[in-house]
Amino acid sequence: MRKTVKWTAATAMASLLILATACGSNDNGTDNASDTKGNNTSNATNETNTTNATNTTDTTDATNTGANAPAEADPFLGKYDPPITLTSVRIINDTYKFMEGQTIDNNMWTKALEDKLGIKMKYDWVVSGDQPGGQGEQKMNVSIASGDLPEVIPVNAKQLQQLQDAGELEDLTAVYDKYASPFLKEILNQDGPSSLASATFGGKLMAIPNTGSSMDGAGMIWIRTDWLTKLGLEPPKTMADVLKISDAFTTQDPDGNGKNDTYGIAMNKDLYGGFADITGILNGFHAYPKQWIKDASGNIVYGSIQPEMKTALGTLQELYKKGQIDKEFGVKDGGKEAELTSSDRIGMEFGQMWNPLFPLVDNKKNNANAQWQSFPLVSNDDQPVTPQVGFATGQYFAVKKGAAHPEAVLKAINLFVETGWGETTTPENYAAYFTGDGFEKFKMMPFQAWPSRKNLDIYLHVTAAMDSKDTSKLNPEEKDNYGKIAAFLDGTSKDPLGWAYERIFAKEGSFKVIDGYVSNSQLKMPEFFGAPTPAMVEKDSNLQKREIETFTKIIMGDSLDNFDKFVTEWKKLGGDQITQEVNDWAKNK
Amino acid sequence: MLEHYTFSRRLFLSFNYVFLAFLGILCILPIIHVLALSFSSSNAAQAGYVKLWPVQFTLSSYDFVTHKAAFWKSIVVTLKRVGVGVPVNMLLTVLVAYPLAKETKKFPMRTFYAWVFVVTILFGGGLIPLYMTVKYTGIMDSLWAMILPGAVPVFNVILLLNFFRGLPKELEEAAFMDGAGHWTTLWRIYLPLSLPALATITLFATVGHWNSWFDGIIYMNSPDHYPLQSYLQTVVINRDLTLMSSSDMKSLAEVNDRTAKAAQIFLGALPILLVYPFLQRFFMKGIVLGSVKE
Repeated sequence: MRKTVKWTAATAMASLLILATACGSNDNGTDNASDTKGNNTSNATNETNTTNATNTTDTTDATNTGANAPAEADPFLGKYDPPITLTSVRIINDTYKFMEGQTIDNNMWTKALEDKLGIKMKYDWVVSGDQPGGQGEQKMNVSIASGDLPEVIPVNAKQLQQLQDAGELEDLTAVYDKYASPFLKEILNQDGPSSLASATFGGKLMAIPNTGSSMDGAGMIWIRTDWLTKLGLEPPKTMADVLKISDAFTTQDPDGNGKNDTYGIAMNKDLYGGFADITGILNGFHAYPKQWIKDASGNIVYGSIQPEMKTALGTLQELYKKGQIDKEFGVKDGGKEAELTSSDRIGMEFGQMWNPLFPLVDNKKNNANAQWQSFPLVSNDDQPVTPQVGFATGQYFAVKKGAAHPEAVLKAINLFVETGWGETTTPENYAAYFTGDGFEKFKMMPFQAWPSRKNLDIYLHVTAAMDSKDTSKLNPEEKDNYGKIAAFLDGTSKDPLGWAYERIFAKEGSFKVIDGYVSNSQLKMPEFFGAPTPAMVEKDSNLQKREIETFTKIIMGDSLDNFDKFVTEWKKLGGDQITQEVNDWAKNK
Repeated sequence: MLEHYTFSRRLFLSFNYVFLAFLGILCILPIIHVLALSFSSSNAAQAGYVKLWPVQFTLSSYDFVTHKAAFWKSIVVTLKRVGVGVPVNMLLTVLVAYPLAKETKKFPMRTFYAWVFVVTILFGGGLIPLYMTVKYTGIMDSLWAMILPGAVPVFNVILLLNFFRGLPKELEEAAFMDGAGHWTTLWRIYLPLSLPALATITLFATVGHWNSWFDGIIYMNSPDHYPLQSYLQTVVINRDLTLMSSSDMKSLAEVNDRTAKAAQIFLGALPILLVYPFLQRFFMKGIVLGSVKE
């Protein structure tokens, strides 16, 4: 018996080995094959492209006038003739709604890509679940590991680094210079140079970032102004005011039900998260959780371990002790904590500009008298507050090495931004491809980039139009928002979402706060925006877990000295190594 | 009933019953809560007013779910998967367990073959080799990708194998005396005697297929082909709002349909909940009988 066991184990091991090596060689084989094939077709089609492509679409006439030589096609929005096929993959989520008869493979955007640019989209796979670490990311990881890649690969920063290290990607530097339209270039740089820099390795641009907006994530204070009025309080100017309001909202029965059932400030178990988020409070103490900041001597340091953090945590501990924070916050996520704001039990929270859409609108639905308004963050001393913002690019479009048309993805994004916010777009065009008939049609477009000032511009233009009553200068998206807000303000629409949009984009909206931050250049950008460093990949998740645990425990009553212990541990358990890597990265940037 | 027992025994029993009842309540309360949520109005659910009884009773979430094509599509996929996958599992389990239950005298290589199966419990190739195997065998994006990789559930084989061994050898010998071969012995003697064990592993196989979601996500190339649990996973998951891009603003208003989620979770769990009571009596007997050898 024992003999057999040994023998079986040995064979099993041997067969496993054989299996592993077989897989490896197989992988390389297919990769090489597809590479050479890709190169051949690439040359062939490039020729046809330059000779044939004279067709342009209606929207491109304006941009095309500059082209002199008849053979020179419009590089930005010129059509492929004959049409090409572009493979990619899609990661969607449960909120995607399709119009009658349309699917993810066949919709207004796939049609537009084919009709206007001659690009036929083919998705190798489509996965639902786009949250970090979710189904989409897992499926993408499997695809990367097994070498099963499409021509255009939508990836996150970590996956981009992986593909770059494996040498799987096409250099897009030259293609970007030639094929990205001036408008697209402007959009990609609107949030500062960091978006493109984060996709650049050794001076070579390896992917096109799907830019978002960092300013949209700035913290602010949301307060029930009907409660403020009732208790005769003023909006906060300093941290002391905030603490006073928190105390009054807890003890003075702001909802008037005669019960002591209200709290001062909302918090959730993850501490951050954009709603009931403590970042805003911490920023008031000049502490910057999870942010890489420059210290006095110019080195990059980790915000969560600086001494200011200790002071801030001490204040939160005090509030918790006084019963101004929900005793059960440690087990409630944002959605659960939102039950308290929805049922008139909390009147102040630190959050972001979108909070009226979720979850504050639920308070409005339950209680029509509830009124929330956003106020800028306040400081605990005479130094002005600098709200921290994150790095806003979460997705990149990389092109597989040897793909026939690395420029196709840029043409597609050119078309996307031109249709959305370009000078040639019309309200009909916008309604047909962005938002219209109750559908969010832009979601059907696989390749996107978003202007980071877009939402701020909506606020500026909509409020200007409210004053002048002249809507002719608004772009289609702005007009759409203007319509919703106007309908809410003159009472023609009872939709609570109208209230939410009014709270965001109208005169007293949350973008008034962001506009203030931006025009005073108050926002604190992260100093590090590269792909996760090796030590981060290995150690960061453990460190972050510890951080949340320690902070939560301190707020709930643990000794404040545990903060110092945490800092020592953090440094020992990889924090110092990460800091070193981040500083090295900054030097080589 | 309790009068035959001594005082300490009675004390133990009372505590035992209280404890078990408590455990039972702990298990059933979440289900009742989800059920109550699914019948409540969205506002009440969002404000946390709903505990164990619906508040502002409404059927609107069920109305919503009945019109949600993706939900029903995924149910059909799961039914197909269970309908094909469980028979495949059962057939292969029986066919593997029968020879392995024989003694080494009759089946000299038995230990070797047993190890071939046991090794797969201890070692796996990992996700990537598995994915590539599925891809290059060409069953990607089809029902078979969710059925064939797990077609022989080794744990169930061991259960059934032990049960077979527990059956009296004399029966088998008598059957052979009367001229039966292995097939006849298996189908006419072993299987009819093993109904409890078969019911148990049928239940395991069914629950396994019903509940598995990860393979659906990895092997299916379109959400239309997701089985129920993969689909529910995409519905129920909490979205990370810190990384909200400007494009997501409008989706926010939809983050919030807790009642619809509750309705889908409940409908998704209902069929399997209904199966349990019918198979339960076999379930207990089956495991106990298989575990003891004489």
